[in-house]
Amino acid sequence: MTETGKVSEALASLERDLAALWAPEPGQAPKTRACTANLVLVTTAARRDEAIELGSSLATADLARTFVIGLDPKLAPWAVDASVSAHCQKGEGGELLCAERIDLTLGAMTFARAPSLLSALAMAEVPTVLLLTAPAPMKLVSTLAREAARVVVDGNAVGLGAVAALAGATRAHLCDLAWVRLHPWRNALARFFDDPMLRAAVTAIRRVKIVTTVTEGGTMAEVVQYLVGWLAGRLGWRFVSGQTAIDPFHRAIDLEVEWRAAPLPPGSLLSVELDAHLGDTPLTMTVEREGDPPFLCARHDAQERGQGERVTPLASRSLVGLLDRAIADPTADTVLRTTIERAIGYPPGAPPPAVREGGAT
Amino acid sequence: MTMTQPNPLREGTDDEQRTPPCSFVIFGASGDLTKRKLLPALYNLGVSRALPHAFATIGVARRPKSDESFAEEMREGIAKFSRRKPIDPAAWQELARGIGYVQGTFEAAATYRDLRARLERCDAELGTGQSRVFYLAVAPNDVLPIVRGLSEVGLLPRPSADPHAPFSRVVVEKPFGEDLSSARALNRELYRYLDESQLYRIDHYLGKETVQNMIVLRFGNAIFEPLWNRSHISHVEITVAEEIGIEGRGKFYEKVGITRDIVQNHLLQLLTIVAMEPPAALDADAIRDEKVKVLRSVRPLAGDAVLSNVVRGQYDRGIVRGDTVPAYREEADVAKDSVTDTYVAMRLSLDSWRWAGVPFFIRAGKRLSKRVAEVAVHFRSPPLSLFRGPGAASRSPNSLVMRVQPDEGIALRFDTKVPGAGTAMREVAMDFRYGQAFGGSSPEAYERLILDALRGDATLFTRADEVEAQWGFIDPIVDAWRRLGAPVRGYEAGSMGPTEADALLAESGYAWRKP
Repeated sequence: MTETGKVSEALASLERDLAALWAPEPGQAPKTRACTANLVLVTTAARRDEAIELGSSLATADLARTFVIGLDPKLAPWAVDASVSAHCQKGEGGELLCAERIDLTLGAMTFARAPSLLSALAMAEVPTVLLLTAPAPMKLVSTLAREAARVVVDGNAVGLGAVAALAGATRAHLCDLAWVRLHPWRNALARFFDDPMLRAAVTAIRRVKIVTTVTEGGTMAEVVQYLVGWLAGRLGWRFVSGQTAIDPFHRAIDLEVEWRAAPLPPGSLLSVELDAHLGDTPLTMTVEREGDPPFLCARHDAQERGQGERVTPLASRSLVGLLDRAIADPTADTVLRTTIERAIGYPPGAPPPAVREGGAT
Repeated sequence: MTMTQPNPLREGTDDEQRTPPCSFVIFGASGDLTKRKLLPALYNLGVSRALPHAFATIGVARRPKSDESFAEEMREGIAKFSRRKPIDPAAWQELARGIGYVQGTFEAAATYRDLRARLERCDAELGTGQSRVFYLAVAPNDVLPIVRGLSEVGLLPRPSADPHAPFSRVVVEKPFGEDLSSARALNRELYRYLDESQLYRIDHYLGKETVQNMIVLRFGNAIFEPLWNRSHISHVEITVAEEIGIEGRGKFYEKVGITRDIVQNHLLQLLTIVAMEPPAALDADAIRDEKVKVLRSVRPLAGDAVLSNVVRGQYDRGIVRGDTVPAYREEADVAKDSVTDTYVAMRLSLDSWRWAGVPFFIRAGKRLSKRVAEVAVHFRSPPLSLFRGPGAASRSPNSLVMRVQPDEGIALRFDTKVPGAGTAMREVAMDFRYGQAFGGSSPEAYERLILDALRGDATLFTRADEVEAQWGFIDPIVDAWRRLGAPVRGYEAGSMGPTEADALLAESGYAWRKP
């Protein structure tokens, strides 16, 4: 048998198994296939069980055909280890709604054929969503991303470098959960300029100070890169150094990053401070994480032109909840890609950000 | 940069930001609607991150209660009636921090003074920005006193031209008036305190996914609209059937009847959406303008035309879902010789180029065999029947059925060849079900409608001229029944209505669809 034959044989076997799943059984109520998407989880051999568990949780809510695809260096290079199973739940009318899970573990040489397998096995007429929530082999991820209509990645788990690599590998709608988690901060900062009185100050920002918890190895926290990249992308800034950016009017903006010890995971955001001017009046805007349970406190001080304070709860969202929402949202994030481009360029001259692959081939 | 330029940091933000900070005040906070629908809807909007970051929920009712006990009641209601269970602690915590309660009667000026003070506290402490949505989950005769009370303490300022300015909106539950003259009088009175743009008359049917989807189906796809006219459609059926009876509301039902309770609002709203012309834009007034045109095109039924085009019925004893149920006249607070309608079927004609000659058959009933709300659009038969078989020449195989509840979805029925020798045909359906296609549970109608009210989108709320046009159609029918002594046809509970209703369709060679 040729090496190619092994893959196509595995595919034919999977197709037979899939057909058998839906064959009516005498005397039993028919199963109703429900499928809103093809969910593709890319994983490593070591994290396969985690991926299966996550896929099951998502498929319960989204009734999707789930693919768990990984590379296993222990398999023969051209081998494909494949299986199919059905997961059923009762629908609103009492009928049995079922969706399938397809497990594909590939030998090291077969990664390039993974898109062909996925394309043959994916349900037509529904979107294919690639999920990358833990380190996984990027060569496999990147090839599969080309088959996907949407890519959902957790930058906190795989690193900004992997997010940037994915953004470059596909034009699919991209969602980064690390970016989504920053949303309350972005919102709090944007809200300062919703106020018509403060709107003009958005082009007069002269200083940005970001405080995070200490990072491992003292590296730049990804949240800092994301926030600075976002401000630069939206406001047309160009980085001159790690400490200075230039706005479209050639005015300098000081960029400061500070680390503080706090009982939070490394690289967690603690505060963001913006200094600007409203005409001749200095304006200070601060967003700080406070309290337990945590909330964001946003304050502005425009001296004689007024002060303000508002508080926003900082609710924690589970990974499944975040993914569920990202999968269901068909809209493209129009800002994320330009933010990623700016974020990986900050600070200028630094080595490219890390790509975490989980030690797999 | 001028002040009118957009905020560049706003691009790419999601739903959460499109809902402005505000307080949501529920009058009738101790009532069933609040517990079963409003509070679970608010909670689910919170779970979906659709509520604004600064948000307060203030209950107003007669019973003495603390903020904490009201919050606890809210939590219990949510735990019992929310579509998402169990309660997400983070979402609850966010909602709970803005919950408050104001005790008072709707007639007392002190209630409104207390409410105002409470709302000002919310503005200062939570940042609700002097914007308020007042939801009146109260009896119809409480609406006007509440609006007057709110106005007298300055809680209903007229809307500003500035889109960023604080807003005050009032959401009113049906029934909106009892007839045309009372609806007009109520509108007139309300306009003393409010602009039409501040009034949100809720018809929860419009918040249902399938009802909204009818607009998308018709105007978001190119394949249906060319067929959506008298050339291709033979007739349309709209059914709102309930298994339940009057549920102890004998006094209310004796005054109202199903025609005014259901047909005047839900059924006529469904009719307008099925029959409307494409709106010029997807905004509230453009859509409502088209809906009003449909109502004005419905040929009025009055006098003898009522007797020949309308069948009213009343349920007798029978068996529903395996249980024996009493006749309407045996229900509590119902007269033994009552002529109140618990069923009505009508044949309507629309005088428009699109619909001339296409009958619309509508029916609504209580204690019917099945709970179902649907619209069935029946297409004409092929001009030449090539496939001779039993019934092939007379029946049309094609219909598009839009199920509003339960099991929301759309089915397209057509004939197909039975596999094997010969050309035997069988009717099959391509069936789209929301539950299967999108997974999970669809948002409740109240979620969508409350969110729209918070965002100031009145598209799914009925405008004064719609309400008046609806009453303008219903009043002459009720009047003719009274004047002409139209018969009340009995029907067995658990059936699909009186047999006389079948004749309405049979005259045209049709039969009611069996849902």
